[in-house]
Amino acid sequence: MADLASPAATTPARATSPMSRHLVRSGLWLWIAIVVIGLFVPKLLTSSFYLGLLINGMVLGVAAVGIGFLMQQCGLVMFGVAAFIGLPAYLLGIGSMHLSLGPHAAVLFALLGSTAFAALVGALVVRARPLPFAMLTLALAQMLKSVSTLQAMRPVTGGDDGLTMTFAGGFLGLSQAQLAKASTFWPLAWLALCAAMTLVWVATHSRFGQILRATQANEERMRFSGFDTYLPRLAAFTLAAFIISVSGVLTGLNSAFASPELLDFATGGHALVAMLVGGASTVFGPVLGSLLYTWGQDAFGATGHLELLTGIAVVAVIAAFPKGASGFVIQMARKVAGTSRKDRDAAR
Amino acid sequence: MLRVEDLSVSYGSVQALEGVSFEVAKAGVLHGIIGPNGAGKSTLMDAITGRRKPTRGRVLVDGDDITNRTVAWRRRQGMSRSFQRTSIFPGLTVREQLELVASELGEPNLDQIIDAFELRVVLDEPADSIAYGDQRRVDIALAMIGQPKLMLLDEPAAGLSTAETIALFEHLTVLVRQRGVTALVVEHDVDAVFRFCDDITALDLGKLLVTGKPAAVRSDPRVICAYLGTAA
Repeated sequence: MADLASPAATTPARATSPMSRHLVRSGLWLWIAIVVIGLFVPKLLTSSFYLGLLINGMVLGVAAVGIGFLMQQCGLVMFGVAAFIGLPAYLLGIGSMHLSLGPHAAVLFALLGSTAFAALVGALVVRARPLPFAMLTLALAQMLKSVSTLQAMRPVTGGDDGLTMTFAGGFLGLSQAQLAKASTFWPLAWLALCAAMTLVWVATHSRFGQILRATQANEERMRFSGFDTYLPRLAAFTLAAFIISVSGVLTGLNSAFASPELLDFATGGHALVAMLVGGASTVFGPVLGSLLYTWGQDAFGATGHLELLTGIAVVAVIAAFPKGASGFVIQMARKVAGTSRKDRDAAR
Repeated sequence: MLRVEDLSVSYGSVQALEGVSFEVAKAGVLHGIIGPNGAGKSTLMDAITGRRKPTRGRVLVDGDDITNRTVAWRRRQGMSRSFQRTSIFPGLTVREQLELVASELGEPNLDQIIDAFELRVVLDEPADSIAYGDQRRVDIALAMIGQPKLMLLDEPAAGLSTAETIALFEHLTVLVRQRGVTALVVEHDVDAVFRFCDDITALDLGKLLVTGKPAAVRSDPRVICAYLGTAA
């Protein structure tokens, strides 16, 4: 082995290469272009039914992006996703209807309240191993659902009937009627989804993401390398819950209604299955999964065999594409890229 | 430097370590821990590094009682370790994991560590895809980061050839002499331990047999008995 004892300082092992900087810059411009072009989807898709379906997929996608982040970075699957969809929707309603907050303040109240609740709960549950963690979060969601239907809470939550909201004014220039209309609600849903994807991409590619992955790979070695492994995991859980809460707020804004069904396991189950269908290895996987899932729900629902066909389709997709539909897309893209590179080499 | 006082560890009804006391008085020495299988060597390492809480006794570093400190705290204070079973970060490249730990611990000479452990050729490989010998070196390199004062190496030569073992110990010797690092080494290869270590502590069945210079330990009848089953 070479001598380690000589004290000379050295330069860092590697700086970011110009090529990778170029790729990041190109990717950034491409992403900005996609975000801008996406805003014009209602011009192309004039059917309000299909646009509404797409919006449902987008809103589900926001939650799936949050779940996928936590699963991919920490190896934690949250069964109680519904807690962070339903709670912010209720908080939006409570802020609007009982605290007389304007829509902006009510949205802020809902997001901050739900995220603070996540941090509080996360402080207790992120120490748990994956399966107990999953069950604890499920218990949390079921507990919130029970609270929402308590007779004593009826004046606040509306009990089993749910909470209908009337917003005092517009949100980001959109009136309540416009928030309910697919073509005018679209930019909000689209930008929220893009923001969630960007946030997750940045977190994943940051030092924070690297710490999370290393902790997932070998937590003991992380502690023996001087790292606190608890706080990063708590931060990841809180971030995931925040992103899922955005989905809950969007649901509340769009429907102006919060009901106990939003806190039910089935609500979170849709997002979980969508994430699995799309795959969590990339940030667009959960979004692709959500779009496929939403389309599938509509198509299968029309046959009258929704559950049966959904079950068959989910099993088939997961069995055929272990890395999800996005994994298949990436595999195909690589194959095509490899073929065209070979063709270019042969042409030379 | 390091003082272990009356250290005991039990796993349920099994007493893995019982009343072990010894001292590494000087910095910059290579201190070997030997003993047959089940002697309590790895348990001793675990108790010193905080991986396992002792049922009795204390661990002191530079006079400070660190028995109840966390693993991460000990690491930041300069106590590092490698593991009997290689402990790296699968999924991360060698470079990613070395840089991650180096940035956390403020290591200014990462390139030197990379070169010292001959890891440059595997830097951009996923750590779980490289050869076992290379993984061992990554494990020890991770322990080297952050200019530790005290390194605890649990069977660092496991899986290495005789030549590689000698090279590793030669390197450790240079390291402790020139950098003032104290290394506590658990090793099954007793020939290497007797050849390279300044002091040796011998354990058997969780108890301290003897601690002292290699020649004294080698000729101690209790050590001979523990290894050969009978006193010479």
